[in-house]
Amino acid sequence: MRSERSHAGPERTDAVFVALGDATRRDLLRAVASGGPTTATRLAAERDITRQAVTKHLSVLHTAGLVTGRRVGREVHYEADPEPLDAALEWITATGAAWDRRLDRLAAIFRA
Amino acid sequence: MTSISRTVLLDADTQLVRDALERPDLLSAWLGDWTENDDEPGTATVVTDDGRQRDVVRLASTPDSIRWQWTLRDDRSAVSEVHIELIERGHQTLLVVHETAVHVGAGPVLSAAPIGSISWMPCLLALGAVIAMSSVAHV
Repeated sequence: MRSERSHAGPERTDAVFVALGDATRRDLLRAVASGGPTTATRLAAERDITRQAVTKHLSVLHTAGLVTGRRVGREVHYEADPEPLDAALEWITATGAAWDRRLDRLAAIFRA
Repeated sequence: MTSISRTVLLDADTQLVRDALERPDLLSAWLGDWTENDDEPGTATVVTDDGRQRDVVRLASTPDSIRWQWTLRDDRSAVSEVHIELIERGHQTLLVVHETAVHVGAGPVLSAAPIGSISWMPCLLALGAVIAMSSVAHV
């Protein structure tokens, strides 16, 4: 686990969607984001999943750039990074708004 | 991978609605300036109201659904798939649109309003909710 961010770009945004498509990973990300730097051991202890499973999920989140890991002694401390969500949110917001406008125009055709 | 969904109830029967999804002149009236590529059947070009040009490849067409993939001309990494379902509701038609990102692309989507300063937790909660539900009713 490296402490630097993953590379930005469309692939990472795709990875964000993949990472957040899983409820357990969303839960872990919320926990890391709200609780500050934490470890896989601590996250596992607070949930009914193994440390290995938590580590795997954190690895996916790290690939998406949503968490960073910093080794402290024998453990890795994970911290949340919101920056990769920008592109994902932009896509969702812009795409949804675009379809709202298009469907308004389509509905207007049939109202005329 | 995620998608957005929109649903609208149209005051027209399914045949009229289907025409609006297939005829270039009608597509141009609501989706964007639509041009069929006569030399490459099943493909088209559309300029949407954001001024961006998209290359369209039709993937499937059945009596009750249409599916295409489109790619931004100025950002070939921005690819998504559009699936439109038509559901008969008496003399009306329920139209359900799904757009799924295949690749989000590198360029700015919201050039006028970048979301660089949004705070972390609302952002995560909102995105998580959107992805979890993957559906937002338009009407």
